Amino acid sequence: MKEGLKLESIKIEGFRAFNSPRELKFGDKVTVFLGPVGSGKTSLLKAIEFCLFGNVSEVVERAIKQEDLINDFRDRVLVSLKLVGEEGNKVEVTRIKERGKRTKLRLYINGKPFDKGDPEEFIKDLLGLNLMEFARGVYVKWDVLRDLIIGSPSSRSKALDKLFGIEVLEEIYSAISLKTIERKLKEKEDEVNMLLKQVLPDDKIGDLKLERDEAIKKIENIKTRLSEIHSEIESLSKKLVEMQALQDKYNQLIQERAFLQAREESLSKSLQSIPSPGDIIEISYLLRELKKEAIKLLSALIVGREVESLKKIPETDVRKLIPALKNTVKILETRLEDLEKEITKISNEVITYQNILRRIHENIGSLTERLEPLRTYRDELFFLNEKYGSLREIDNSLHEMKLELSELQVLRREKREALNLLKATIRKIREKGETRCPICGRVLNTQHLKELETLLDNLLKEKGDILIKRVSELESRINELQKIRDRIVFLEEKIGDLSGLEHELKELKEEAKRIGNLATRGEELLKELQTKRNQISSFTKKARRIMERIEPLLAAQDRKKELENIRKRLKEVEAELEELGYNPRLIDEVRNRLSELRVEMASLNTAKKYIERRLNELETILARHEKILGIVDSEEKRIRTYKQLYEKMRLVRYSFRAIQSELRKRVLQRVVKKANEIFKQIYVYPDYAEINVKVVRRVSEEGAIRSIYEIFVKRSVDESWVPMDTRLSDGQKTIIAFSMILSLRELSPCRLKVLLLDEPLLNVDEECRKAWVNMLGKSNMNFQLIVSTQDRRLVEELIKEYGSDIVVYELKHNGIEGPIVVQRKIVDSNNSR
Amino acid sequence: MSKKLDPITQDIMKIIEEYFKDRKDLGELAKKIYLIYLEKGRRGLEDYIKEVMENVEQDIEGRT
Repeated sequence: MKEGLKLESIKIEGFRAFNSPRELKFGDKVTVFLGPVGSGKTSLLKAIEFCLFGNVSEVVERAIKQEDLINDFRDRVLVSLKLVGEEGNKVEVTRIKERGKRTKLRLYINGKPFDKGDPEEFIKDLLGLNLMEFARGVYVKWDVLRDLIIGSPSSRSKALDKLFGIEVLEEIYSAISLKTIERKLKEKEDEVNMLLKQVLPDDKIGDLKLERDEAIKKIENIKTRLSEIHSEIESLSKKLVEMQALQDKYNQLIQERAFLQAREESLSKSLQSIPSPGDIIEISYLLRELKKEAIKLLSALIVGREVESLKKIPETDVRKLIPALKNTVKILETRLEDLEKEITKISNEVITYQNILRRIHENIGSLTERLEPLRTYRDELFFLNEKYGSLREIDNSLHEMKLELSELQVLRREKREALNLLKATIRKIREKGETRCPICGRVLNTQHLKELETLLDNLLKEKGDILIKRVSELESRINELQKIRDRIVFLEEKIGDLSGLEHELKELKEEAKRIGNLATRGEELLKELQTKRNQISSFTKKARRIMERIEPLLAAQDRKKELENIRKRLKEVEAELEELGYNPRLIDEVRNRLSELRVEMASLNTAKKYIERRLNELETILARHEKILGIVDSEEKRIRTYKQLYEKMRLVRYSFRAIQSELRKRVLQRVVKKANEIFKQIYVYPDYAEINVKVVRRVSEEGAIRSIYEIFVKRSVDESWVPMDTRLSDGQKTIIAFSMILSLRELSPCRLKVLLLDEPLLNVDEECRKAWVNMLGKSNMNFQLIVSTQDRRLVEELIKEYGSDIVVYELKHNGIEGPIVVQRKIVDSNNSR
Repeated sequence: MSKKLDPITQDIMKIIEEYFKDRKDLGELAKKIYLIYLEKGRRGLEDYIKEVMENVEQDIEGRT
């Protein structure tokens, strides 16, 4: 984008006077912010500067801090500017600053976020200027205008220097502080002088170095001697170890010899009573007998392995035989203990069997007594069964008889009913002469009476004879059979018990026989075990007796053998002692030498430590001296460099004064030429035709020589150059001042086509105001003019000049919320006219 | 600082070059000082001088 840019709108929030958010649109040609002092007019212009460059010139010049831009009641600033290009491209720049944080930038190009590099650089390139250039050429403050129009020659010169960019050079001149470098130089020189005081004289250093070299030599000698001593000590220590081993061996042999001698004496005494050969023969015989007996017993006990091992031992080998027999005795004694336990156990079992057998015999007697009456019942039952049959047959007979009796009883009842009917019918016929038959309904009369009475007699006869007789007979028979049946049931029950008892008796007899057998077998086993126990007991006692006799004999034999061995060993020890050739004097000599060497070594080490300590001191002193010399050297190099730097800075500093003069000439040449073009265009009166600016050198009140601009105008009447200050009115001066400002703006090729004027006409008269407005209207200025002012009359003049092309915002105080901004309605007076 | 210099700055650069035509090192230093001042103001220039002095200290330390 390489096109001219104008401001479209601004959004401001939390910036200086503005607390609550406000959004304003700029006019294409002129925008005026009108309001009293402190109503936020300048804040709006500063907000434009802050938004475009992220800072304001006052912060860069350290007049204020960036944090001061934040409204006192807010912690965050947001300023957003919309710019529009001549070709229609749109740019939106937003700055957000929070307290204690860095300012954030958001950049949108035609609605899309910018993402092609550094946005700050892009903005500067887009606008064609940086912050300082903006502050100089785009944003013209009231004090500059005032100084140009009505200021003293000195203040006007300063204002022009500011506009021309020359003031910067003066600022740089004063900002290059040579005093800092001078101070540093002084510090360094003092430091070097102080260090030089600590530097030792050369002869002293020579002595110290000599002493150091001698100390090193001494230490080396001591080290060599220590090494020799160490080697000798090592060698003697090895020798001493060997000698100590020899000494140990010698002491060991001496001790052994003493022990052997004492043992020999003791054994000699104890062997004075040696057993007779007769005892030994008897013992041998006894041992043989004992062996045979042991083999026999072991065989009987079925201990085969021991028997075989015992058999293998020759009877003459007493030393093997005795332990074997001892072992056998031990086995047999163990067996004896087992046998005792077994005998006790079996004895208890036999007693238990006998007790059981006695109780069984008592039970058999009791059962036999109970069986006698039961056998009588069995005979009676046999008789009854023979006579009446079995219980089933009796039950069948009883059943048949009961059936018959039941039938007869039914018959008897029917006959009784028939008699009663017959009697009733006869009675009714006698009483009424006739009646109906209760069975068939036929009418019966007196003619039938006789027949009925005959029938009645027959029935009465039957009843009295056959039927009654038979019923009686049956009842008697049933009663008798029932009694027989009850007796048979009783007998059968009893006989049932009888067979159970007889079975029990049989079992008891069998049990008695079995227990009897067990008891008999137990008694036999008991006898057998007791016999065996007696044999073993007798053998072990005998064996122990013989052993007790044999053992002292064997011990005597052992001692004799030991005595022989001791005497043999004594001879060997004596031989070894002789062979050892140990000399106690030699070991003492070695020990003394070692002691001497250690004393010497300790003494040498002490001396070495002392010399080393001194050497360290000397090294420290010399090193420190070297270090000081090094520091002095480097500090002197620094001083030389600082002097070079000081000289460079001094030359550069003074060059800025010379550059100012040269620049002033060149700028003036261009500005005066351009300003004359503009002046001729806007100044329509014939009295003055041309402007010129001269630079003269004058001594200021402070005594410094300063360059002062003197503005001259060419009078048309006589074509003479007259000074502006004394000849021209304020209105004419205003036109000349703006001619110069506009010429500078024209000469600056930046793409931001905006001119910000902060209180452009403060404290000027009516004529001046009118002249300025008239000048604006006549100029071919293609800038967007943004003006802040508290001068209502100036606004009225501008409205008259621009009509609907002007946008006017009126600002009013509104407490902590920030100013109220109201856009004024403009009636185009030109159109209305 | 904009990449393209404004006419006044261009003038200043030319004048510096002419002034220090025999001492190019000083010319470069003067240009640098001017541009630093434009970009960072008085404080920036003071910081630069401090930095140059620190470099003197460090250079010597480095050499020793």
